[in-house]
Amino acid sequence: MDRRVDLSIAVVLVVAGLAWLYGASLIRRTESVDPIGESGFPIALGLLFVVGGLIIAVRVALSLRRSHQPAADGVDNTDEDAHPVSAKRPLLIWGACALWVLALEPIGFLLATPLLLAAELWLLEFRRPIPLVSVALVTTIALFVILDILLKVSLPVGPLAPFAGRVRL
Amino acid sequence: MELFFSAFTNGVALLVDPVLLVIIFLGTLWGVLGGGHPGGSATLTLSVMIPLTFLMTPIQAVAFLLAIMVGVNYGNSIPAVLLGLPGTPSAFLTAIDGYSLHRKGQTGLALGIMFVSSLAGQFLSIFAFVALVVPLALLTYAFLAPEYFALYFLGLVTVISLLGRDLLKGYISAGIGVAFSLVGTDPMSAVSRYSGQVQELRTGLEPIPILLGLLALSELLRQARQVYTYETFEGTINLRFPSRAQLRRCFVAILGGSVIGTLTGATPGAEATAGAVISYNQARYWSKHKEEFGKGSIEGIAANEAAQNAAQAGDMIPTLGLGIPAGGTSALVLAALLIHGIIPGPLMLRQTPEMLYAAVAGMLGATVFLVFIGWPIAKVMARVVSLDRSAVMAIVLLLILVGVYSLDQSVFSVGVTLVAGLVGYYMRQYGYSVAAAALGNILGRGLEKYLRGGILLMQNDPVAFVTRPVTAVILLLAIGFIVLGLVQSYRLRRAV
Repeated sequence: MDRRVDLSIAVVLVVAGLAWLYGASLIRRTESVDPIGESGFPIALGLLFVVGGLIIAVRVALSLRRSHQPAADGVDNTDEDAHPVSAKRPLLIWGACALWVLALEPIGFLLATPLLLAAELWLLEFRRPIPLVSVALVTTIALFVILDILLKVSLPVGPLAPFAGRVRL
Repeated sequence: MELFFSAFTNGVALLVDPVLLVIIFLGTLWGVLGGGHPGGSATLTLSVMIPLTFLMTPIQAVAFLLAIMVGVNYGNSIPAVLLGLPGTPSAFLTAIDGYSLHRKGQTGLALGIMFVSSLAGQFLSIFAFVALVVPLALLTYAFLAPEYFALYFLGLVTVISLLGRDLLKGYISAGIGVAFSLVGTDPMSAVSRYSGQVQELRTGLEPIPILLGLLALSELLRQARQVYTYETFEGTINLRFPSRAQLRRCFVAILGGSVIGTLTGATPGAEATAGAVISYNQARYWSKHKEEFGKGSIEGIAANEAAQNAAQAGDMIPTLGLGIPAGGTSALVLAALLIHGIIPGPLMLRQTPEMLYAAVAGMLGATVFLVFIGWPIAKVMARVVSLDRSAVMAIVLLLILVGVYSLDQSVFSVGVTLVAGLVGYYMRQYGYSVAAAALGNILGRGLEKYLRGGILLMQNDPVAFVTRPVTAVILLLAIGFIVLGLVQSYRLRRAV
């Protein structure tokens, strides 16, 4: 792991802590006898993020100056040694999931889900066209049947509402 | 004493319900299959099924979740033996000795020892679970807000002190979990906090979407960094069950593993892996065949398997008895129970002992099922080619998202899971503990409520708050763990 990213995360923590403290200052206080009050815990938490983030930032900066090594210590490397690592892939998959969330209600589960699965499988290098399409379609239909039809969990159907209405009956 | 015996009799009585039996069977089977897939992990296997529990009664849900846990702990060692890849981290020592035996053509011996010791560990630990959890019911009337605050605080610092290599990152991780729990209505005055103009934030964030993001989605994103297929062993597979002499040789290792596993499992933060490692070393110390350890020792497999299976029941002692999860997976179980309206702790044991009976039924039923199906499943899995890792990951990811959506049919909840998943992914990558964050999220609200409620109860006198005898003892214990964590963290930093 890169120590410079570790440093960036510490800085993000400090900024997030300051934002959290600002949020705490906006909390309305009631006239109760509670000495800690509504903002006591949030303030303590904000201070933990700011002070903790600063300590980590200073610690990482000092170790960077000492060793000039970009690798962060105290972090377990959980990647398998024998296989190449892609740092972009998890973010692309996360992005595909975020698009699925945004598309779920407008275009419905039956259209959004095969697209998400196909994108995920493609990103995970499962690229044989027939198995890819089969897994995407079969999983989507199986989930729809189990959840929507059998378990009565209403899934959004978007433009396929007339068709889904007949299937649900 | 009465509750001790009634826990067993009523637990067994629940097993005559055919619907519950089917639910326990399905939970066990799912657990074995999920745990039996490399990288499946207890968290992922459990996560996918949590939304389904909301279609069940609370008793069925408790039994189902615990049956899954039993199944996972059995199944996780099957790929450890067959592929050298543990299904969950606690099976990594089985991967060393079991896989060595498999490569020598003694697959049946490894799987057989695993089968017997897993079940023995499970059975013994269920009795220990009831024996240790029942006395906690006596705490119902001794515990007021200050004691609960101290207990929640202890649960949090123990996990942080025992889990992390970097104590400061551990506390920040817990803080991140607590921060999620502070959004929404104030527990004492109903004032809205951090919700802005967002309607969905007014009532607060439910723990399940956050925990599934922090624990399950982040793990999948981490696994997605690499794409590969598992290498399978091409040699002959001998599936002969171990002989009586071989099983007798493992007796001490199984017994030691079961005791150590239960006790370490019951310690928040220690979890199954610690119990498995301690038991393995203990078995090596007691063994007459020390040279075999690491090269295919059946005693090593026995100790490791008994311990990691026993740890699962041990895990449930603080989770159900005190409402303090011992780790990330039990935090998920706790969150699921909270959504069912069950608040684990001494009061639950006294007022709704049916949940304790359901826990016993789930663990006992699953173990009995494993007696019959465990060995055939292990033999079948020895011959089945492993599933495509990429396809499994894609489907599990989808199941988690759809599962969260099905909780309240809200895309907002899925969004919360995605945000928590991304936060959890970076936490994992840079040494921040997601288990501590999960615990912080589960305990955060109670921590604040009991601190403020307790101070009010003591008429705003903080000294009276901390000097109540039970509170003082628990807080001193917590301080002890903080010091232990500091020393450990300092030593590790110096060693690097």
